[in-house]
Amino acid sequence: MTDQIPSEPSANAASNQGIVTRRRALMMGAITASAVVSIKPALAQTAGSVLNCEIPVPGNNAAGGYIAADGSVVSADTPGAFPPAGRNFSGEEVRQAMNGRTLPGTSYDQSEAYVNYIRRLQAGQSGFTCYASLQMPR
Amino acid sequence: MSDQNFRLSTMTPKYRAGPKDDLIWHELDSMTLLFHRPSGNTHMLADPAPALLEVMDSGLLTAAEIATRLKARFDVESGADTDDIISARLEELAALGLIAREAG
Repeated sequence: MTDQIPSEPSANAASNQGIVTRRRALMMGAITASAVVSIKPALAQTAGSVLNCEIPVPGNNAAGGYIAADGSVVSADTPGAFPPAGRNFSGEEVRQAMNGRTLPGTSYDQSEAYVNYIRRLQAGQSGFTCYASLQMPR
Repeated sequence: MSDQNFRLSTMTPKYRAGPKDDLIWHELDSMTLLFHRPSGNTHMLADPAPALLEVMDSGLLTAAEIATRLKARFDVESGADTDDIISARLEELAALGLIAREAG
């Protein structure tokens, strides 16, 4: 048998020495065929819409609850607690608040309390996905 | 070096892979998952992309140098435009931030 197997030249050469080594065959695809598909994390969305996602303060599961200075949700008669925000904050507004600005329509202390509430958000709570997406490295 | 040769050499792009520790690989049956730590992004890679990253060690490499390494380590499917395909895939990896592209 003198026919060579065209796809395994390395194996034929090595087999002459009593060993068989095979390099893995590598498919190259077409020049226009992309070889990488990026998985976009659901919580990151696109660069533009991340900053437009919204965070309610407090979320639906604590509707009507007041926000203490440390961000915990407390009853309305708790001294020093702030009322619900009455509006959702966008990811961009929260990002700026975490960088020193106050949330729109709030006093400094109120904004601090709301931001602390947001920092405490856990998976499953309204706004967590939006908040988490602010943390994604770019 | 003549002016023309200098210009040609500076036009040849070179590619640099990041530290291997930046990447977490997971093989699936028909594709490879790659988590890129610096960006937090996950990518699905089909051949020849994983192989390209595998042969790129440290240093700046041209597409031709990478092609040579690839053919040494793998039994590359033969074709007239293999080198062009390698260049196209390297550009794709660079656009995704998985490798760096620098002017030669």
